[in-house]
Amino acid sequence: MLASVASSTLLGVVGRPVTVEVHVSDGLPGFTIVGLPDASCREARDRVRAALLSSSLPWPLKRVTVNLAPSGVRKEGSGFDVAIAVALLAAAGELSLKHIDGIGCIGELGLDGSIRRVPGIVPLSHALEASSIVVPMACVHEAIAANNGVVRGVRDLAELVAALKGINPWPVVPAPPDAIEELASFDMSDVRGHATGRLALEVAAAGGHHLLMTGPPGAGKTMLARRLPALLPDLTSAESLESTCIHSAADQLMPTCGMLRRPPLRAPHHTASAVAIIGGGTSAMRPGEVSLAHNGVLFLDEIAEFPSFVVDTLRVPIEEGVVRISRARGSVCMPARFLMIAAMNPCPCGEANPMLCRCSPAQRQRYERRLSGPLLDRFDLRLTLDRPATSDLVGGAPGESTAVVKQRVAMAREIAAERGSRTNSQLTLQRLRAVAPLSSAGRQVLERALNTGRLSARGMHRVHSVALTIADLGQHVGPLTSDHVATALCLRQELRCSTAAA
Amino acid sequence: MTDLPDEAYAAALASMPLVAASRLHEMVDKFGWAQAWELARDNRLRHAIALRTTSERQPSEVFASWSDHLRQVDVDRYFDRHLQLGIEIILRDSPLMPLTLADDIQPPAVLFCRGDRQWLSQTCVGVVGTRRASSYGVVMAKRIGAELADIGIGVVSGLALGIDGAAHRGSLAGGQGASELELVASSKGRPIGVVASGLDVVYPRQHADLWHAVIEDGVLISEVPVGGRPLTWRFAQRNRLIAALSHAVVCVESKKVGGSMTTARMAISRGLGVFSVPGVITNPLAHGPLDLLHEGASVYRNVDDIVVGLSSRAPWVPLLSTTKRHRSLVERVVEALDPVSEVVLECLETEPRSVDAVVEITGLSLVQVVAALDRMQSGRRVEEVFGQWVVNV
Repeated sequence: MLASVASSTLLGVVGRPVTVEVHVSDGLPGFTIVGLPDASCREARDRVRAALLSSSLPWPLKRVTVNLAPSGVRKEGSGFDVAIAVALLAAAGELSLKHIDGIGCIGELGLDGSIRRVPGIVPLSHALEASSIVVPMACVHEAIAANNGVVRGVRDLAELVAALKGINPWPVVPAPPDAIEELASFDMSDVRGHATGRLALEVAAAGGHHLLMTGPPGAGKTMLARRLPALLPDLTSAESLESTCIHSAADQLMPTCGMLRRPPLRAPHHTASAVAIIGGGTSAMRPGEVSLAHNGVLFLDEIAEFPSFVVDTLRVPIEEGVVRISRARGSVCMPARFLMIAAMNPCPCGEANPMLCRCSPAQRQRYERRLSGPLLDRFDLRLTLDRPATSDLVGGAPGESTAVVKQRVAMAREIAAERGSRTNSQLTLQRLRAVAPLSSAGRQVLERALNTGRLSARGMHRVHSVALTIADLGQHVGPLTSDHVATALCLRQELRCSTAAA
Repeated sequence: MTDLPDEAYAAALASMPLVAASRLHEMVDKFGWAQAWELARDNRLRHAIALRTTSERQPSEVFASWSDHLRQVDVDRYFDRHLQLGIEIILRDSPLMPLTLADDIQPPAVLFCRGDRQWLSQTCVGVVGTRRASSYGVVMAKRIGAELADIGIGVVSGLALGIDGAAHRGSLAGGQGASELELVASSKGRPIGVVASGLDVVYPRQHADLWHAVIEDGVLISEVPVGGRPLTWRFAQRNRLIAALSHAVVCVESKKVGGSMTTARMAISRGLGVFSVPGVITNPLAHGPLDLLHEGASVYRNVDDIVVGLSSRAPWVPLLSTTKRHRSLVERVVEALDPVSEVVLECLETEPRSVDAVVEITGLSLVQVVAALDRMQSGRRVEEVFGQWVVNV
């Protein structure tokens, strides 16, 4: 007898439909899985057998062949267990074909018959081609968010079989917990002083400009960076699905509602390998930190401590918004459009003040050179922070709260969207000149910066686009004034290490 | 061999290890350049010249190292390299040797010079200080350099990081005021760089741009021939040259001991005017200049102090009245300020501050402050150093 059940496998961050076919025939009892299964997939045989027996279901003493179609694609993981078990029961005559008509299953079986969650439930259920799908109860909300069809959650195999046979009704799916607004534990109003830092965050959030912060330990680099994601607007439903797929594929912890609604913040440690940052891997292509930060923020603390080749791998995703990972076995393309924030000390000893610095000039230069020129060019905003004065820390009026700034950012983003580009940082030079001409006073400020050697020609374009974002934040109409340009220049400071040479 | 000029042999001899001016003088006094070279190459100098035995080296080893070195140097080609790089070689007896150096108690035996050598005879002032300067020190050094250039006085310095480089940059940037004044001097003061390496060995590397700008605009000199590394002992020699060449020396910022203090004391021993830029006594970098003040140096308040203090050694001294008029001219340029700029300026006058601090203190918006600073910067009223904004007096 032959029976088939729909399921799906993970390829990078997208799901791919797979049909699980089971054939039961007379002959020497045996169990074979064909169709390029990996080790964990092949072990399904033992899990399925134990699960069936524990659930008081018959294990056919016949020749069983399982085929995972399309056979040419490599399958990995334990997500086919439930589909194999159901198809096997149908092929063995325990379930009728009518019962499993239009059913798709995802889930791993425990030896006691329980059904466990598997990584990538969101892209898997999104790709599943079935009129009703069965997923582990533990991740039913994620599947509901990703699949528009009928989604059933089950806890164990016995429950599933009873429901399929119509003996018992399908288990009730608990109501999804309300999408509670994440507690903004990091609020902008906690930031004392740091007027430039605050503006830089706002501009970064509004215009999608990458931000590099330099300063001694304790200057507030990390403190500022942690407050950036809260300034970004909520994800749109398309963005939300993209990001949720990626996080699900990487088996990251999901919010209880099943979908990511806020931009994610990823802060990899500087010991992270190039594969961990970009994605890839030996057996399965896993999304890296750049993809996990898709539609969100990638925070590289102590960027100078990262091996330079690791940091340089970021150049392509920054430019193209995707990573393409090619291996001998195939290649996958994963989205990676993120806002990059980096922080570093001005020199190995961390003292910005040239009087207190204990590093030799050569050491300082070597440290600075760890950021390659092309990468440095990607940072529109470069901030040099100093330790705040004591008076700012103890006294000092609280600044604007995150809610106020977020509103301004949202409005600026709307203005930018009306121009047709996603963010101002992505405007080309021609387009920028067309939509945001400079006033003559504004041009003078830029020219002066060019003449004194503060800016390069490329830097001028970047300052121009930052000036546009600043104008958008102020809802300014008309040519950019000298104030906008001067403020944009102030947000692109030279790295302190090089100026120490006087 | 005999058709080579003395300069060629001088370059070869000066390139020998551990050879300072005094040693060269001794050789040349006895044998002349060409013969000294021949004797040194054949290791026959040991009978003529007495070397002290040091803990590190026996005299015989030193003579042998000279001989080994000279056997490897092709005098002709080595000389050619100097010519190709446009390096002039001035021997001790040459009329081209600047008088200040020729008359010094420790005159150089040979001088290598790149750029326009006429600037070596201008009236010039040494500006010395630490390599790790504070923003205050850098601003002061730049300002002194620029003001001296304005009134036609050159800046002598070592092209090092920190104060030296800042003084040279000031000197290069200055001189714009000179045309506005009917100065007696025909031109602005030019930078004179005195370095401890060969004139093709840029040191420190960070100052490569400055190195070439000084060659272009002023003159760069050294006692070290082409290819010579900047060895520690050569810096002491270099400092002596700065003291010898200058008509006065200004010490901007320095710790109690260090190269710049040595230079200043050498200047005192030569009877030159030495000026100290006073600093805050809690700053260790102010202790050097304060010590000098205590030892009898003059205080530097503005460029007039130097004009008054320049002794009769200087061939040309601007009239004090011109420098005073010059400053009033500069001040007149910056009269009108808008109200916001006034507030910002007032805030900066007490001490240098960062943009954030100005925002915090004045309560103005960041955009207002930045715009005001930008306006005042274009009028050269304020300047940014290490992220701090400083008022230009």
